[in-house]
Amino acid sequence: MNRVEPLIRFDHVGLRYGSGPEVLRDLTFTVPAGAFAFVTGPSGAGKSSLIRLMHLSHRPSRGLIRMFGRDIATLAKRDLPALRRRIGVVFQDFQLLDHLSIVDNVALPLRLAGAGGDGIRSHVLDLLRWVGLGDRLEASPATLSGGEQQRVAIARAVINRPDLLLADEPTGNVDDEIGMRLMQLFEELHKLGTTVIVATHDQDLIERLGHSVMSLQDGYLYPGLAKVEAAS
Amino acid sequence: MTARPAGRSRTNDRKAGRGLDIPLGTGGPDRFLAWLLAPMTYLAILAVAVALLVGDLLTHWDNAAAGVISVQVPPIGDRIATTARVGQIMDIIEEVDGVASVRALPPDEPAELLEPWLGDAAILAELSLPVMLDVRADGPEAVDIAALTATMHEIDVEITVDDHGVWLDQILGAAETVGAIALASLGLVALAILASIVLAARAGFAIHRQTINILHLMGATDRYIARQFQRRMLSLTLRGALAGLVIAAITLIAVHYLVGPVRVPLTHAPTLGPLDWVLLCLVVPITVGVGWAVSRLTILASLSRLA
Repeated sequence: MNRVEPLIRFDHVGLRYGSGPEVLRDLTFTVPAGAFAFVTGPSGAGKSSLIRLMHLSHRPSRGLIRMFGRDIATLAKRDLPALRRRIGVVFQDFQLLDHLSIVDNVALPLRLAGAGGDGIRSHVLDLLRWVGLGDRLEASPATLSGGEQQRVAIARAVINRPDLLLADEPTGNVDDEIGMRLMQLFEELHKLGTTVIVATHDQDLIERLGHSVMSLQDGYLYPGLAKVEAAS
Repeated sequence: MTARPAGRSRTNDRKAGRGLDIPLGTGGPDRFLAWLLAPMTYLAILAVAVALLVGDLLTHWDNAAAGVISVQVPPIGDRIATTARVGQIMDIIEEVDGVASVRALPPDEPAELLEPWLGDAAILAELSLPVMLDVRADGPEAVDIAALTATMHEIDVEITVDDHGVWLDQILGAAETVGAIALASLGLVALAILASIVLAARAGFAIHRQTINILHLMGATDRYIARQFQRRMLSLTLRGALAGLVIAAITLIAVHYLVGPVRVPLTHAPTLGPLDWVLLCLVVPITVGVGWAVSRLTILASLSRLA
């Protein structure tokens, strides 16, 4: 039988910041390519830390992580950028670059991937119109509301059709209508083959979309061993 | 949350960091780098110019004095007796091995040489000056000076023979010292330029660390980030070095016109030739190239220390 390696594999993974206590403990789960999963749990449960591990900004304190068929613990630093360009991230604090316009912020992943030309701009403009920011193209992120900044962050995360989309509370600052529209965008990407993992404590959202759920509490995953279902 | 240096308008940000994903030039000390580099480049160019001028002097003095011997014959009695004696001495010198030619300087030439120190040449003509013989040898050491001196002293112990070796050695030594000081100054200025670029790059890195982290997380390579600093450094070093070159050129041209008319007898007036000016202009691309390379190495080293 031909066994396909999951896109993400965590095996007894723990994470601590500095010499502090473990914020993630003994996480073991797999996420197949093309899946859509929610990570949920109360504040402080470790959702954002788990997202950080998956977008390769931190390395685990213990355990094994394999992503895209690579062992993250032994990955050379020079190999990280190529993997990170396959991942789109919506940070909880947006992490927009205020000295760039909204258009330039959203186009950044394309520039980092080496894309250029007029094609970029029209692609970026289409996406910004889709997220309802077609009239704020040259504005600075600092002049936008929290919800608008969040939409810019989401547009930037999805602009290059990443293999893996990670979103940390992506609907936390937007109203229900915009929230559903953004989730619709995620669903569209999911249908196109992107693996989507959304950290949220919005139970209504989770129930409405009905995807796999990983539940965190005090750094542990409940149930202790999770296997996210592949897309149907 | 957005990554933004505090206290700067976005308009200024865009001007300063034009085309860059990292807002270099906003809120950082690198804005002053061009102002620092201008005087440093100015000093570097002046140091190179001094070294070139000293080199020119040394070459001319060396060539001019090589194989030149001066024989000073004190006057005796009246002018006719002195002339006869000088003729006799010239005949003796012409027979010495290694002597190519010998000529007596016309009386007005020594008077002219002494004029700056002793006054009007007409007055000097009334003085009883020794007759100077200009002896040219076949080469720098073709004539045995000791033997020639002994021969002259047999005629008159007052006759002096000078191969210019002593004063030339002293002057050449002094000129070489000036040249060495100029080169040492150039080295110090180069070190200061290097240190300024390293400090500016490190400061820029520290100030924009958050933006760099974001770019890293989005897949920017270290080389991509380093290139942002290199572009900024290229602009700053070019502006600073060009300003330094312009000011140095004005200084050198001014010195040429101010000092040029001052004529010092028996000395070569050093000048900067076209090739020398090309060398001076090369300080600009060298400074820019060093800035480009050093900023790249500094940033790559800083990035390598990140987790």
